[in-house]
Amino acid sequence: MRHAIVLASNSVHEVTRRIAVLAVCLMFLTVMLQIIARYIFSAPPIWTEDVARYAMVWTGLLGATMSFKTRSDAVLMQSIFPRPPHVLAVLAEAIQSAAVLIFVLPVVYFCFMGLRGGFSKGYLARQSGLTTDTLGIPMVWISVSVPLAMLIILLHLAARWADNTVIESTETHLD
Amino acid sequence: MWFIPIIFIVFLISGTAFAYLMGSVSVLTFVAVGKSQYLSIMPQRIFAQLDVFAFMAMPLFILTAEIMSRAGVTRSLIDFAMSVVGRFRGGLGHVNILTSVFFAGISGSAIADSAALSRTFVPEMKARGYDPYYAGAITAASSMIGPIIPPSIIMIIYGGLTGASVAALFIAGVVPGLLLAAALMLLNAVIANIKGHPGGKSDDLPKFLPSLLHAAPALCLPAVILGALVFGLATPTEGSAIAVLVALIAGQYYKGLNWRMIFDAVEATAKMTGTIFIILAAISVLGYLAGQLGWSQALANWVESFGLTDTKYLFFLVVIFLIAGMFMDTPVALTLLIPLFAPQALAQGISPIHLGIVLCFNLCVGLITPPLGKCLVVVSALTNLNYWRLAYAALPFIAVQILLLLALVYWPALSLTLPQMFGFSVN
Amino acid sequence: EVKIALDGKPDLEQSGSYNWSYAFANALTEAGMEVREMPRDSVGNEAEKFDQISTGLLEVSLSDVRAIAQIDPFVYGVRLPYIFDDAAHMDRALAAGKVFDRLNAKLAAQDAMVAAFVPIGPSSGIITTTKAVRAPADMADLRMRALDDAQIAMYQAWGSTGTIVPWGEVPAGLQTGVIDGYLNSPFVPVIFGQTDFVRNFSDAGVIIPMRAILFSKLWYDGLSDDDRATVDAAVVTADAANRAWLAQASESGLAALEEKGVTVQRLTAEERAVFREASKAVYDSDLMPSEDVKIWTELSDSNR
Ligand code: NA
Ligand code: NA
Repeated sequence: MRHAIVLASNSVHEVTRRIAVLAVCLMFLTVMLQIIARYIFSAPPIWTEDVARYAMVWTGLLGATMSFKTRSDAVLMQSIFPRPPHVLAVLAEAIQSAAVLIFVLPVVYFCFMGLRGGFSKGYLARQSGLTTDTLGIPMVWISVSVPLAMLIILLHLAARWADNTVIESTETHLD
Repeated sequence: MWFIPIIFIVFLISGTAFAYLMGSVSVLTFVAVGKSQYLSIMPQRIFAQLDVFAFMAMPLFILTAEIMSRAGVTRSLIDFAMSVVGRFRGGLGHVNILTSVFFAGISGSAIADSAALSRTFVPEMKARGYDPYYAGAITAASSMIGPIIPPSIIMIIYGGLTGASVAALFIAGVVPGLLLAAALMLLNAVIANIKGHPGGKSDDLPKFLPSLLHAAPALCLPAVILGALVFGLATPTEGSAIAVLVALIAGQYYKGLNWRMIFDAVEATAKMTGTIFIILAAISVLGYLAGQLGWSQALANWVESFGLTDTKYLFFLVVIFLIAGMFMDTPVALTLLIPLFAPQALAQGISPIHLGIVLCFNLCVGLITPPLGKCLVVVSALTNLNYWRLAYAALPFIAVQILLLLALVYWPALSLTLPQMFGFSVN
Repeated sequence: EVKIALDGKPDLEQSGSYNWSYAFANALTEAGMEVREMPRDSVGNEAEKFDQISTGLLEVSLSDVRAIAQIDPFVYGVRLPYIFDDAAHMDRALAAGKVFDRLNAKLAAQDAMVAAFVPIGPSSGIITTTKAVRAPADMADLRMRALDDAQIAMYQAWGSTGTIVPWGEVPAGLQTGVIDGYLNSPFVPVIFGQTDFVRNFSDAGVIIPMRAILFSKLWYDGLSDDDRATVDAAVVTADAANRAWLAQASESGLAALEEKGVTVQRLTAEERAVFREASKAVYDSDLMPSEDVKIWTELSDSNR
């Protein structure tokens, strides 16, 4: 079981990396197309901006799972608990995991369940009734990135507990 | 309600990532005040706050810097800076600062600057007889030019959060960035004369023209971006795509690109974007909470009770942001404080562009102020210099930066003249 | 508690939608209902407002017409150029075509309903930097800022050219000459402080800029019969207050422009007819099925 979770988390991470890379490339190419269309053919297609923006949202949300998997998230304060393998390090890890669950679980729950009307009134169900402005495709293909990213983060969290090897934090520098 | 601060502190001292810290505490607060039904807005809220036009420039500018730094562009920038200012007394200090100016044009981040330059400059300056702590301090201090001169990741975040024009912010950052460079160079010249720092001999300096030609692809990048923005030829997003294109061409010119290198650069971009996006996601929930519970209004009333207006209010913000900058990462402080304080400032008629420049500059000063000066940490880690001695050596530079910050607050024209000249509305 | 999500500053002088909201809120308060105005952005952007109407977390929203179009593009009829001569003509056509019933049948799937269409200001005219415009021919060498493909098509039908520019870039675009003008209500150049470089306003009356008032259907259906009657009456009161404001704003909007030194071209009915004829070419676009366009044209013609 442990092995299966770690394997699933690692495989999903590998797939996520590639899709995120494709999303960045898609963004670059559509914006280039927009520039070329405007200046060379003087006919800006209106959908390029939406495609680029949705590619950005996919990039950022998949990137958020990559950031979580590689422990690159920005930290306000380093843990004051002793480092692993000290037993208190497990406590710090447990507290961090609790915070992740408290934030992520309501998002996942309300993606699928509505306040009233259960499954058929959840966020995704509501979004499936809407269409994008210029592309004419259902909004749900874009907004599904939110629950997907959150579910992947939950999987990576499970893998953290299933895996016994210690990974040091590699915080990304943002400034 | 009373247990919320306790939970916050427990999460905080356990080293919980900022996004999950703020997100979970917001969720718990909604539950504690009996408004848990509002949690159902979270998916829509997160999506809507990320699906923002202004943020589109962020991934592609990050990618530009990733490609450029992998292509080994840094050396050519140092050589060119050396050929320009290397001969003066304290020459390597000037070179250090000028390289950061050039580097600023391809990168939107101060940390990237100090990471890229400290391992080169600190040993080299030490070998030429400079105090290594002085060398480390000037490297950290000058890296702050990075996010002030465009492109700038934090200005994109500010623009996305407030709706201010990113193009106008970029153009407004040019003069303050150059002023910062000039002020640091002046300080370096004064200290060099007092301490008798060496200057380069003209025979061991790179020749001006060849080094200019070699640095040209990297140097023309900011010119292309700014030109496109100034003349309204491209939006910041389009500018960022052009920047990636230029970076690809320049990368081919310097080292030769390969697919592995590009894949790594793109992957690093996605991950860095994700690190920022998960923070924005969590802060969007906090922002909604603040709106529902009337916190923003309460904060506004509290600030109003001091009777501060215009410039005085801005000075008040400077103090708050300086303190925040000492303890938090710049984007973290920005996402947390902007939604709380910017609305009142804008309501008072302070220009959103002026406010953006002041606050971004302000938080960047925090990058070299202890206890948590992120650039000091990076320099100290990469060069094995003692963190606190480094911070002490940085004091004169911090003083100069704070003086310049006050000047920026007091004279909005320093930021606003340039964008106004090119027809950008700054109100 | 009835929460009303506002669409802008609570400005009784210059905002038609706030006039509506203010009168609506007053009518409810007088009848003993509790009302809370939610400032713009405190509930989030357009998509978030609509989602909260859907879930019943928000009762009333002053929303973009596009919020309805993502469920039923039929609503885009109210934005066809020259479809209505004025607000009264619009009201007659909406009533005759039972447009609210038709839209609400579709909106019910999202637990939302539309209660009113509210002009936010006088009809849009042509705002330009240098050239004074009285006829489509005057615009031949102008490049106009377009909102979307439909507007580009309209400018082309007028013999002009359009280019899509986001609103934030419009002031810079006007000053650098990337664009020569745009289409909007006369208050807009004044509110956004553009009168230094906007020199001309042509009162062409192209479209009525408006908001849709959305109700949460869960809230509305859950009201007692008395309360629902109060809400229905408040809508009528608010509509009347908005139309009364609009009547005087139509002139004061032009006067405000002239006060700032902008030249106002007041077009005659014949001059407007030239624009109207030229615009008909663009009614069939991919925004809306052509049978819908036919319905709107007939409603407009038979209620003129
Ligand atoms: Na920069
Ligand atoms: Na430097």
